[in-house]
Amino acid sequence: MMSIRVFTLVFALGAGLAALAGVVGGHAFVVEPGMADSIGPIVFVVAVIGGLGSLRGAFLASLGMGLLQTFAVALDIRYVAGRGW
Amino acid sequence: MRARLMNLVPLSHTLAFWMTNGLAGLASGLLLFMLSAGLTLVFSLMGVMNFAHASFYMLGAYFAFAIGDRIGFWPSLVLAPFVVGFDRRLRRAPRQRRHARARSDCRVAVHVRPGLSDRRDGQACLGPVATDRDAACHARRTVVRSVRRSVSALSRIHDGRVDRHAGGPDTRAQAQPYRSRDRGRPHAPRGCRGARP
Repeated sequence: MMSIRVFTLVFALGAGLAALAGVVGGHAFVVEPGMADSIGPIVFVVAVIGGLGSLRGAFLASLGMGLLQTFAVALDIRYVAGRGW
Repeated sequence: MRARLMNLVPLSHTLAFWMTNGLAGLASGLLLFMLSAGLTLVFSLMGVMNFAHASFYMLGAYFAFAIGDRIGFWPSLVLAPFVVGFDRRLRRAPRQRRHARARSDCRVAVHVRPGLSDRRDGQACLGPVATDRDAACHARRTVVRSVRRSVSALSRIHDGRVDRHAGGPDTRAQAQPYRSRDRGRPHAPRGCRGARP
């Protein structure tokens, strides 16, 4: 019974963290039913890159993923030299 | 002259470009970290990969929208995570009321009114009287059963893990009768079971 309560509390804590991100993300992006689909795969990628279950790895991977996503849009780099693409 | 130079220098050589996009990327990454921290927490402590984690993100945004619309942003920043985290606990009382109502509907249709009863054609009939509330009850039961089955499949995984590690006899006792009840019974109409204690 105790373990179930601990499980519930930890799960609630995790859901609360996600909701805290949602409060910020809802103001930063669009609040829509599909916002879970837009960010969910990225979160899994971050959790996997950081090593499943490692908080420090998740931190580094999420910073890297955020920078990568931003600079992939901002930078105008081409891999192949020449005019146009 | 200056304008021509600005045109010639690529944007990516300016400090402002790197500062702006670096900070934007940092903000985006910290948002991602908040999400993946919850996912990592649940996975590392409980061993459950929560595929609905991003849906909690969406729920948080919606609750923040609803709460912040009424009492402002800062209260919503505190309240919305609590509402999402303890969503099930907050909804327990209305859900139990709903279950009790469903059960009483079914008992009226199946259990309480068996025996001699008045039908429209005047004939007395023996046995349970089929009403259209039976159909509603059956549909409700089907939905409840399918939801419960998926939940119990998930909790069975979880129970196995808990039993292996902590060895709680009470969790086993709680899971066992529910499992046998769910499998063994035939499909015949029966009263809606109430909320599991």
